[in-house]
Amino acid sequence: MIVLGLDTCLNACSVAVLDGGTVLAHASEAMARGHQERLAPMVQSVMAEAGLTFEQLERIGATVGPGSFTGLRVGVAFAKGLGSALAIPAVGVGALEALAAEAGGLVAAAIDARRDQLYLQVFEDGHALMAPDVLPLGTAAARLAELSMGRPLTLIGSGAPLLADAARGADVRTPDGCDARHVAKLAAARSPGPLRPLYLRAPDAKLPGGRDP
Amino acid sequence: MTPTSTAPQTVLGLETSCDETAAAVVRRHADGRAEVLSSVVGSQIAAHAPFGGVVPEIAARAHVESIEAIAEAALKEAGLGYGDLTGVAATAGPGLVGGVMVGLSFGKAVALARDLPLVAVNHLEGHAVSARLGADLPYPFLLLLVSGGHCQLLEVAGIGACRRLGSTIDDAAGEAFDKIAKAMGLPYPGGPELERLAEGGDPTAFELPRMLLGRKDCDFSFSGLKTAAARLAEGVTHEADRRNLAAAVQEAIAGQLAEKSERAMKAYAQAHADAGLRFVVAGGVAANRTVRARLEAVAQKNGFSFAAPPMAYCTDNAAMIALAGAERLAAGISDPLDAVARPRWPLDAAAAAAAPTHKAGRKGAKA
Repeated sequence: MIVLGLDTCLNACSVAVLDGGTVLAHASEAMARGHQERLAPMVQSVMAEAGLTFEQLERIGATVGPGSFTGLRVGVAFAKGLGSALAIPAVGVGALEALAAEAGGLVAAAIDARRDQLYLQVFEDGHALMAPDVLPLGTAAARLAELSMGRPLTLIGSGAPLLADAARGADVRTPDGCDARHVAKLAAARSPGPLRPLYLRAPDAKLPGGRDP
Repeated sequence: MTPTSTAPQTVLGLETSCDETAAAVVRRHADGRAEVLSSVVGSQIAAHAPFGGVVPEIAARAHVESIEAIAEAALKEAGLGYGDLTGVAATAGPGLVGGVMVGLSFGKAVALARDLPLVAVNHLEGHAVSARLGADLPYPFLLLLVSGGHCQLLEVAGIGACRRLGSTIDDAAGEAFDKIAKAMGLPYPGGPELERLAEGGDPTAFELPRMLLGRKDCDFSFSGLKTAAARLAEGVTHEADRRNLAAAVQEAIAGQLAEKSERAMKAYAQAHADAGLRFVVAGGVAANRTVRARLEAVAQKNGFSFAAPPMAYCTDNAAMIALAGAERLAAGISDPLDAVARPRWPLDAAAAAAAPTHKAGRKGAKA
């Protein structure tokens, strides 16, 4: 199956096209903003490098968050446009899951959610030990200790250094974003469903009188 | 300006710059005539109503949720597939940029996947051409663009050729309607509610400030009116008084719009005496009947024909975006795939830079 993988959720814009397990072409650029401008030209050049036409694509995979609300919407909207125009499935992949796919064994994917919070999800050999969640730093550290029970661990993501004290000896990695090759592989392996953003946070909005919605 | 005879253009338009997720298919025939094949608007009013106004993050979330279904519905209603299109047009600003990016990203993907040209449309240009959706309206014309976000007088010589004659120096007229309505306790969106309340009211029962009366230019101001009306609203409880205040507010807004439009008409007529005098009002406030009647009267008095888009194309819609795109494509204009989403994007960039009506913001003139 020929799959195009996209990631625009974090501090990079990444694109990869795979045929089964074979990477045909991929590209990644570090950026805090500007994903909207770069994504389409990068997809165009990756497809050209792979020598593929868009009609040959069989599936799109895109990260759905958690991460930058604006960034994840760019990727999801773009994936929906490709899926709709080509009449192929566009499949969502969690950003934490895609980050964790870079390592085997026990892996904690952690993204700095600011406001002293982390987006956290822990995996063991590719299986999620918890649902993706947004947690205060202390709670995240406790959760991680409970799941890892002192075993060797890979900590990955922008939030990894914030947990390093709680997981001494862990292999700490801080890539700019998800690897689009993993996004494509994960998307290929699952059955298609509705492509929905995963924000993990409600919109910042107050009702009249300052009440929470 | 625009070539009169070119190949037909069948364009998918996408609009996500505020609180409507919209898609439409418009065909521009070889003779320049526009045909709306479909126009689908998914309103988010219910999602924003509890907050008393549009919440940008809620709007952006709703756009990404529904963009695909709305685009597919527009194609289905037109009886076409993506393969029948000759181009894709998406609003690229000005507007709430989180939402703009949703429609623009979706549009870029469709253009790329189907090898179609992309047009990154200025939302204001969409409003400027909207009256051409329902009628044979040649360029040039004098346009009053009056909505919740904008209030400008423009000389429209053709696609991509707008000259600003006047603009609001503070609030847009629709914003004044909505905010005064909110102060009077009317539900969001308040403009249409205020119009209903004003029915049968006596507009002379309250005295409201007349703004920029001494100025000779075509600029607008509504913030003083808004403040004064909101203050009056606090002391008004009887239903009859509320009706009268609503009528007075409506009259004050319509009066200022008519007065500045008339001033622009006089200037425009000197330059375009032999080209035919056409006055067009577009934007959501053009749906207000009192405003429409006052403008129609002033146009007639000054020898201008009067045109307004059908109601469905006054408020935000994607048919106007598709038509702006089709006219640009017919003129050989398209945009690259790295087109930016712009929160601010004046239609007449030169005028906006030379004579900013808003205090120069960090990111430049808004519109």
